[in-house]
Amino acid sequence: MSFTADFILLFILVVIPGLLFKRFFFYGEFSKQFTTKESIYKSLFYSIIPGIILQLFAYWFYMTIRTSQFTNEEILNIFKELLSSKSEYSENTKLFFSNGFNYFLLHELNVFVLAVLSGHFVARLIRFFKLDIHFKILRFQNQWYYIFSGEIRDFRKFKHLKRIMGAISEINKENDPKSLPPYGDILVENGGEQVLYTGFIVDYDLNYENLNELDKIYLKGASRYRDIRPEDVKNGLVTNGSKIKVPIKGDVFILKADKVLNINLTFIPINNVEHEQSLLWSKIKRGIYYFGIYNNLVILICIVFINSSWLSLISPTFSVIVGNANFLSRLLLGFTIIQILTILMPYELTESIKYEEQEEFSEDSNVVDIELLDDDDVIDLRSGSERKVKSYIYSLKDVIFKLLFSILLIVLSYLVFR
Amino acid sequence: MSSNKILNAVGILMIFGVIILIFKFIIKKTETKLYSDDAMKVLQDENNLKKLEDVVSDYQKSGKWSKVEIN
Repeated sequence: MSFTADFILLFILVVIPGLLFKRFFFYGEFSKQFTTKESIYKSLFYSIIPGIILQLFAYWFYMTIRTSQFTNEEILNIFKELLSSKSEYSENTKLFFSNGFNYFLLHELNVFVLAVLSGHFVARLIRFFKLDIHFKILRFQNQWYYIFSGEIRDFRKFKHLKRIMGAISEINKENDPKSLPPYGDILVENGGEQVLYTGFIVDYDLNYENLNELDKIYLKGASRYRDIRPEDVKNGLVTNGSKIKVPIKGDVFILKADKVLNINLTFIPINNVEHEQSLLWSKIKRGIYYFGIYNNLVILICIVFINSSWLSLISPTFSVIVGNANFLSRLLLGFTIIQILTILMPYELTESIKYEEQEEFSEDSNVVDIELLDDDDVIDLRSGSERKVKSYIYSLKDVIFKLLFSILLIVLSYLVFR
Repeated sequence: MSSNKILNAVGILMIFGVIILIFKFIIKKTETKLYSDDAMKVLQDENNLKKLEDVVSDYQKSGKWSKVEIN
């Protein structure tokens, strides 16, 4: 096997950054998706796409912040020469090797670091914003994670199942501070006989050859069902029909998954009653929310429709910039300012309560604030009546969203007003 | 001049601090474990295990969740 200079160059420039990106993109329960068992062609192909994107982005970034002694055309010609079979190089290429090669190595190091960081955070951002749940194209291959974590219930095709399961089963979210593993009833073929095992599924292994298949299931608090024996009643074991549930002693029970016939999962809902917030704080948040809306409306009207002379009181330069801008530019500026101010505001969550389900609703949520009622509010407590409850919430996720959108608008405004 | 430098340094440190906090928060929220550390502590207790098994058993029979307090 011989390596040509163009192959080595392609490998360093594109394939290595792509491989690094992939290595750090598949993390945690999805890490097996990065495997060396893939065919070399497949592995190269899937590395080339992120590799090219990273290389182009890093190149653009480098050219933006630094003044290179080589133009884009010269760099392209240097690469053309390196990729060709010519043995004589032009003056520019020689100059590149004598003066610019260190910068090229430094740039490559930056690309590798960028590949590691971007792989690490792109995957986490996809998970954080649940993009893998909403968009199939971004979904990881480990379908068992989505099944055992209960996230499969949020998939579009399971929406109807969600309705059947009811809202209360949705409380056991992955990110809940007290989320429990699912409780599984697992039917296994064992020497021509079928045995039912139950317990909390605390972990699992995937088949290394085929990531769609389970290899092992780890159960905590495992039990198995067997036929009743005469001595069972004497031993005080609980019987249920013709079968009896026998606890399996030990810390973790490991079940080989190749004989599993079917699995029934139950997700236990959790009510977190630790985070009740004071009524005063809820009222303050409601006040901030409504003041923010009023304030934003005033700012929008002032910037877009009213003569900008009043702005000179705040900043004469700002007044001149706004005064010279057209309607759409003013609108963009107004939205940018509003978006920045919105970061400080809580968001409003409206939930619907059906009073026939009130018993189950009363303390079931860890996100809904204490309900705010005005003095003249009358609650219809008849069974079947439905009411909207509003609460005002600060969350870091919401702030990050607003911050990112603000940055986008600031960049757009900068481009328009510069 | 020196106060400006100090302010700049504080500002940069604050930006780094906020970025690190956001990253830490995102990493914590995107862990791919099937259960939280608190849940594991709950499952270490035999009494809690028994209570939860009973709750699941009741749910599978009646279709309704009964409430149980776990620590």
